[in-house]
Amino acid sequence: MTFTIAMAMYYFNALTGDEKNDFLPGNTSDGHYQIENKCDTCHGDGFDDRETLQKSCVRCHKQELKMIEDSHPKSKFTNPRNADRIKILDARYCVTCHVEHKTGKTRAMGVSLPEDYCFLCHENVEKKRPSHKGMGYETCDDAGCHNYHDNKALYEEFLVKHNDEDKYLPEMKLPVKNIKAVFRGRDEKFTKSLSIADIDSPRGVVVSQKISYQWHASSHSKSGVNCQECHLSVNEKKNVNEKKEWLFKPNYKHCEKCHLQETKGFLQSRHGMRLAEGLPAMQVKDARLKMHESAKDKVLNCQSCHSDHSFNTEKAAIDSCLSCHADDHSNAYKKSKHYRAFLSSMNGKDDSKESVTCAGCHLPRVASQEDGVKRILVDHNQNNYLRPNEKMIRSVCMNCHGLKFSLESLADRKLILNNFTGEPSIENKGFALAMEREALKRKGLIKEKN
Amino acid sequence: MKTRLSLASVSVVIAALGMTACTKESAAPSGGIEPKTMSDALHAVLVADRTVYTKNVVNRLVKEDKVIKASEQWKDDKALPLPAQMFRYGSEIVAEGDSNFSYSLLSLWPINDQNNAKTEAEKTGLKYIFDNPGQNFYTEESLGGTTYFTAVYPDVAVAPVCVSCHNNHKDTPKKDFKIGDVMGGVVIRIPI
Repeated sequence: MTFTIAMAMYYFNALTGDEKNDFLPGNTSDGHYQIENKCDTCHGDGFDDRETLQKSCVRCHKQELKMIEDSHPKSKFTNPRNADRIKILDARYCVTCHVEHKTGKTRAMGVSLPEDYCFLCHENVEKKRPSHKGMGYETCDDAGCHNYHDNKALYEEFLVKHNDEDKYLPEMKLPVKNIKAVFRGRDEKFTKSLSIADIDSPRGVVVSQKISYQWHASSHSKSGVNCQECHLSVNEKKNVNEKKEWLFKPNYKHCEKCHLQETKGFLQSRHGMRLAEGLPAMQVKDARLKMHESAKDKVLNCQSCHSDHSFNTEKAAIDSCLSCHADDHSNAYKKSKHYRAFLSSMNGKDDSKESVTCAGCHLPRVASQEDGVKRILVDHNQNNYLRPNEKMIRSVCMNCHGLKFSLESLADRKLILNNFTGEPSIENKGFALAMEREALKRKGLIKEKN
Repeated sequence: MKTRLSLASVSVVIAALGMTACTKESAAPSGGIEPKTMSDALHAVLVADRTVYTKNVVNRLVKEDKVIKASEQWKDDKALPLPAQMFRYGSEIVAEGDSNFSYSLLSLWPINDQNNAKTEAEKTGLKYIFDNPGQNFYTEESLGGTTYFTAVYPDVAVAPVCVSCHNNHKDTPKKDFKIGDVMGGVVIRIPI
């Protein structure tokens, strides 16, 4: 009897609490395991049908697919003329290719289909592209040739346009953040620099000397952001009668008040996606990547990288990453040319203060428009630049390097592991094929092969 | 299409439009608009917008005023989208919703092979509108277990940019288009 009650309580807790691991039918992919205990995030209320799953996929990934100008959007497959195709591969639904809980069958990027899925529709590719004759199905995504979704850096004309680029571009420069200018243009209060004497913490709250100095040295004090801006509670329900309280540990909702885009990216990222679903924050020990043992209990929120009060973005861009990440690629960074470039820029040998850091590549600065104002902000969602790694070619690599060198470097697994120390050993054949067709076009020799 | 017309008004519209082409009759849902009427009306809007964009935007700015280029890679090239792309983007937005109809721009000489005639109705229809200038093609076909009213309308080269772009594209299978030629067809499908 006691045993039965204990078991009943265990399963009740397992079903209703945050720990549902015992009910998972199989491992989830690297991109979703963080939220696997919150079944309804993907399955809705009742493990409904694939329409429910599709809505869940779209809810999180719609913006990303729009940003990369998805080469195979759902709209291409809803046309009745493609009914024969969706019979073979129903590309209207993400779960056709990305089925979760398939232990041992899930490959990179959560793909659970066999490798030959391109051939299901493009089996006659050699008719239009004789150069592709004899190429195996496993070569479609070789060395940065084609991706299913993101081909922004891979299309033929792009290869032709950038074919002659050298390994290093004449001007190597990452975009420079303009956050200060944007804020100052928005409100005059952000133009005012504050001193320690201006600290506006309420009576009874003791601000230590260390904290005072950290804040005073930060961009916040230089931009008129005083203690109360972050430490007063957020009036989420917009209730005019709600009294704001002093919070000793503000969370991302406080950062979000000013840093909306950055927080949005963070909540979509592998670092913050648990918080977005109302789950406890990720801890370093939850990671599947290799991490430092000493960091295992670290909790991932805005402050864990930016540190309270000092908000040092240089620290956040390298030291914060390396204090947790312990894989080969991360460990090799400080021996890399990229790090030497960073040191050089810090020593004032480079005009640009923006240099090659961990964040510079994985959480890059990207341009966007808001209310007609051009902003260059850090995109805190590393998924946008991670896998397939060609996603980072245009927004990151091509700020400094030629396209061919970039593609070949990112296709070389050894180079990735040693943080790009050495030359790529893989050749991207796409350039030669694209240039061959370009030459034929100029001669007017390209003809349809029947 | 939630718009409903009375039987009388539908009859007047049909009479006014006439059945000038190869037509397979399809019954209108009770009290609703006939698929052919709806398809012709949709096509009238599509072709009007397409013509305006081609002539008054692309041809004027690219060929006449020479102030901007039109390019297949219009975002990267900071140029105008090509008229065919503009048309396709519209059809993709329609395809994202539940509009209960679809349309495509197809050709027997497509630049992108995906836009070649595929179904029997497309093959027959495109050949028909090419062999019978000025006429449309109407039929019914079954795709994926659903029966569709399918209409194929000629897509004619209306401006110099149409022919110059197609004739010079490295993927074109036909390099001798002239203004006034039927370059392809607009295919509209309505489930019945």
